[in-house]
Amino acid sequence: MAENNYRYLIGIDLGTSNTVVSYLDINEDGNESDFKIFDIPQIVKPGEILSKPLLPSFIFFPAENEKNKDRYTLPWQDDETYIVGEYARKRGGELPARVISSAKSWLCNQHVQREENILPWNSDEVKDKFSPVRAQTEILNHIKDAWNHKFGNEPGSSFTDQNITVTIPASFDAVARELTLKACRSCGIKNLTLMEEPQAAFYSWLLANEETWRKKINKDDLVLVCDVGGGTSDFTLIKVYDNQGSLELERIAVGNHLLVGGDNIDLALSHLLNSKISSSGKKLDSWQVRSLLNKAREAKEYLFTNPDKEYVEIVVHSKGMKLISGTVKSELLFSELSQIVNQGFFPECSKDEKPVNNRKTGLMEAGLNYESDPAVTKHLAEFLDSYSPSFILFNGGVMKSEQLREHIRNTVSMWSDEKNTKELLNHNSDTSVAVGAAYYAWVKLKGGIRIKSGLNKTYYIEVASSMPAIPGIPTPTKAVCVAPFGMEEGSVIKIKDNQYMLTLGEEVSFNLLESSEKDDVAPGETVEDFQNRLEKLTEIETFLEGEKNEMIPVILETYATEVGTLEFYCASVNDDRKWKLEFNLRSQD
Amino acid sequence: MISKKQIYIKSLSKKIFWIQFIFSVIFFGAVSGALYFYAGSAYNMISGVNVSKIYPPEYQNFLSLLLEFKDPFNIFILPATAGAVFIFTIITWLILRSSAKKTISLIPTSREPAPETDNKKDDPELEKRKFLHILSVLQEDGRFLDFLSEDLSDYDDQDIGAAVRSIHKGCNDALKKYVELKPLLDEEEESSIEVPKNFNPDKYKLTGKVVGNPPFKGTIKHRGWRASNINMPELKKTDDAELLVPAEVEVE
Repeated sequence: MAENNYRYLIGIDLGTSNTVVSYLDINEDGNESDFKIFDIPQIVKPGEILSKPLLPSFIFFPAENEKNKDRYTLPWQDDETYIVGEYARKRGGELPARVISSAKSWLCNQHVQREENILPWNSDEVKDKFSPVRAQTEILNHIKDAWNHKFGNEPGSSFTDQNITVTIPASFDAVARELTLKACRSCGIKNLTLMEEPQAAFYSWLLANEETWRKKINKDDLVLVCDVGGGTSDFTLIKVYDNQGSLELERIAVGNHLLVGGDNIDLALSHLLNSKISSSGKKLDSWQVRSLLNKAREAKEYLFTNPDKEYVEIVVHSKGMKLISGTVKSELLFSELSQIVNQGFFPECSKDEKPVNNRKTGLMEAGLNYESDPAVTKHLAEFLDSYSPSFILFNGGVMKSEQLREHIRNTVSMWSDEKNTKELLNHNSDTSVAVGAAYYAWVKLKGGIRIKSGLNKTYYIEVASSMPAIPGIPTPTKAVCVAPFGMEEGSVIKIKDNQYMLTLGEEVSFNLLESSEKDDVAPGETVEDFQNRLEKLTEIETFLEGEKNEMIPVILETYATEVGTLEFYCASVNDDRKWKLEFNLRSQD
Repeated sequence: MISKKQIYIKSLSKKIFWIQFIFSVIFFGAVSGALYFYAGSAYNMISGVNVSKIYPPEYQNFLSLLLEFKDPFNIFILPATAGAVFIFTIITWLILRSSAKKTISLIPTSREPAPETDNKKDDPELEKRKFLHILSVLQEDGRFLDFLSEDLSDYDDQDIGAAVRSIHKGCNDALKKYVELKPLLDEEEESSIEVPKNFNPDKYKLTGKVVGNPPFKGTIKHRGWRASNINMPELKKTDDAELLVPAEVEVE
């Protein structure tokens, strides 16, 4: 088989705020130390290239007048149209209309046309914009070029030939997965697997505890993976089973896509600090407000890592050369920090509390769907529902704070009656997802414990009920399950009981519905009263090529691909003809 | 790191050695074999006749040498041949190897045209930028130059103290991007230490009563610093390396 033409297993954590790459030579032994982090060269200052383990997922478009002799060229690229990485983030803070950030979150935004060139959002300054998919492709291209620059001369080491695992949020629906696949294919990646981030974090824990994990977790244990990054939060539940004496793992639930994370906390803190400063009679200019945001982040990290300190001094310099006289001073009290974090973002709440959704009360500005309720714990309570996890594995930058982990652990413990929820220690939350992805590829190749997972949602199509039409009342519809939760990769489901008569030479379209709960429905089963439970994701549609007006009976077939995406087909009952149904990616408003 | 050149030289010198060895074995084998057979057949030819009668005296000497020669052949000639093979191989190998080394060292290191990198190194603007680079980093991340240019006598200690905290953090973070600073010595300051016999004067600076020859016993007054985990940036040439930090203009 052609599969062994590669030399490396590469795990890519294509994050909302940072991208991390881990790799392993397949000739190594697969020990924890064999998993390396790829230091990515990037522009950190005009004319300066530095290699760093984190590549900020930002794309900056410099103005024409800013390009001048090698300021933004890379060893592999003379073109200065756009740059990726640290300086893109830094300069983007100064010129927000010229930077693409959080491109990943745009991939699951149904309110925009995701393959249209819309980013940077609302920007007049940038003429040749990127689509969210293109933005992801360009971040991957940067990694590809950097990789080939370093390893390209070694035989069999060309980036696109390697075995590559790209991680995605567990909450990514079939469309967002398909778009990620497109971005990877545009980059030229051939041997690709998509993998859920919380699972990757758990694999990385398994790698770090290769010898001892069976002693640390037991049968019937539930592990909650709580991943709170810069911009997003993602939850997953993994159950430990006993199968004839040996432990098995299964991912039994995934949360919704939540656009709330550490950046929201920093923003809230900087608002608090700004109001404190202005109440003392001083006013900050826009440059100082921006630098206040960084100071707020630093102060948060400092107070969280030094719990014995009651406050931290905040110093904001003025931009001008008069450094000391222009300095504005304030302080962040630990009590203020814990009030914002523990009450605003992670409030203690009861198990039954639901996040407040007040978005419907007014016109919403188009753009990213930020959560209207930033209380992560309420989202967590809603997600956990009746489950009582025995362990929590934390991941993401925000969770570096031991104090915050403790606070969440206590809150979750409170929800369950008898159990005391314990923490599984994650040693490096910056790189664990990338390392876990590479380790997953290793386990698939060489054997080892694997998490049984499969499809992360249940998918339905909406069909009309067969009943006599009543004037004035729309034909009632029902939902037919076409892909159940947990559907295994590489498997096919054919809905044989539901045949449709379709006309050739015409377009056909189905409404695709989704449910992130683990519904107990079999493929082909119908659900009558679904309006409140299922959410419309998009349409799947195709053009039925063939002789016009010919009617043929078809059934629907669903393929869960090895890569990790879903494909839908209309298959003729009479012959071998098949038509692939594509996702409608136009705006769903 | 082992350079590609070193690998080439190693594999080439191995090859040269074996070729030399095989040729020497064949050559000396042929010579001594020929000698052996010649001596043998000559002996057989002569052994039946009266030597002194037929041949002139010059030949007689030679033939008697031949007779003496045949018996000790095994004891004498074989080891001599082997020795000759060995010495010849080693000498020619050493000669060829050193000339190969010389030739390889003339080959440019990488496939990229070497002269270009050499030119860059000599470029005074780039050299200047490399020298000034850390200053611009310390300014951008820690406002270091602004701080140095302030007249501290204008301010009271409290204001200076507040400003310094954030300058300290900014400069420290900036430095950490490029190097990790580690004490040169693991031992604590004010603890005693022995300076070894062949010490490196760049590592130990001796003060006090330095008499006689090392090892010396002394007290650590400063542990020294070492830059480790250096993350070298790649710097591009600019038109004017003296531009440390750009002026900022907010466009209305």
